[in-house]
Amino acid sequence: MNKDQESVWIEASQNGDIRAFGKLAQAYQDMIFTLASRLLNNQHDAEDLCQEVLLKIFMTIGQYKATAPFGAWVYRITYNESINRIRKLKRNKESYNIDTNLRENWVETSNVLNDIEEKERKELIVSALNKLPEEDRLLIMGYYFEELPVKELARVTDLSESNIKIKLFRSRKYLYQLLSVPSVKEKLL
Amino acid sequence: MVSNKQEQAFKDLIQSTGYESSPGSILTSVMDQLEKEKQPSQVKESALIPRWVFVIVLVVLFAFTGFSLHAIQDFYIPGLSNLFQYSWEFDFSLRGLPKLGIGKTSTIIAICALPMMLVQFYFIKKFYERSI
Repeated sequence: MNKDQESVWIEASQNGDIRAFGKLAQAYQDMIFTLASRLLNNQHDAEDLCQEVLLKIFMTIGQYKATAPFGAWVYRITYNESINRIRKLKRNKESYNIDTNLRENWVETSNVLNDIEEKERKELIVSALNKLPEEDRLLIMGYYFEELPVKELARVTDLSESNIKIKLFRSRKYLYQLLSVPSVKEKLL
Repeated sequence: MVSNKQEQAFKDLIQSTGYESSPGSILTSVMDQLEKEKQPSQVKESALIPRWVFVIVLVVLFAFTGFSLHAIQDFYIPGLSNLFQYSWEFDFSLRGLPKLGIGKTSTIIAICALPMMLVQFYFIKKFYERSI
């Protein structure tokens, strides 16, 4: 999406133009839905959350200042709404053990995963992501999927930058445990 | 420490999952909701506190004020400035119970308090009708 076009839509939405907001919502709804869906693991809940987030964006778009990318601002709202939803659902935080001595070789994993069908590969990765606690999953999604810098993630989550780095490190290690070549081969058998 | 190459491979792997396409009904529903909220409501909501209740309250309050003022025997409008000088007493007495007296102070308080109460009722009404 063209950034200039996006700025025009944002400004028009801030002046209450619903049609312009529709364009903006269309551009971001897949991102919101993907985050919601990966977080809640439930299509119906994800649709509900996506709708809530879009409405919230419209209600609060007047507060958006162009100092940060709009995508990061949308991510922040999605993150907060998701965390609130999880608290309402009262899901227990999962804990996981990681082998810190494990030497990650994502290139090797990538090569193995690239040899399998796209749908199956996606399922494997998404199911591994689902094993992470929600907050860590959101961080992985924000950092690696949305490519938000750690500084931006710190603003979104109210966590310190060092804390985020630690969480990202742990989550990646844990994902490697789940997606290392032997584990993947075991799952594929 | 993970090398940049490993980091990139991991990022590519995560990004290979791609976005999930959201059902079109979400945006339609959001837009419908926003359009609906934009239009002024055609349905007039019935008031939580009916108008006649306020009429009764006003009548009672004015009657009370009138009665209180009437209790000052030689009440006349210019004399209001000398209200504090009146000495009068209105008694309630029931057999076997101590005499209850309403003195001039009560009337003065009533005169001052009534407009305030009316204002409060007005805001309470507005609050419950969600117009403030």
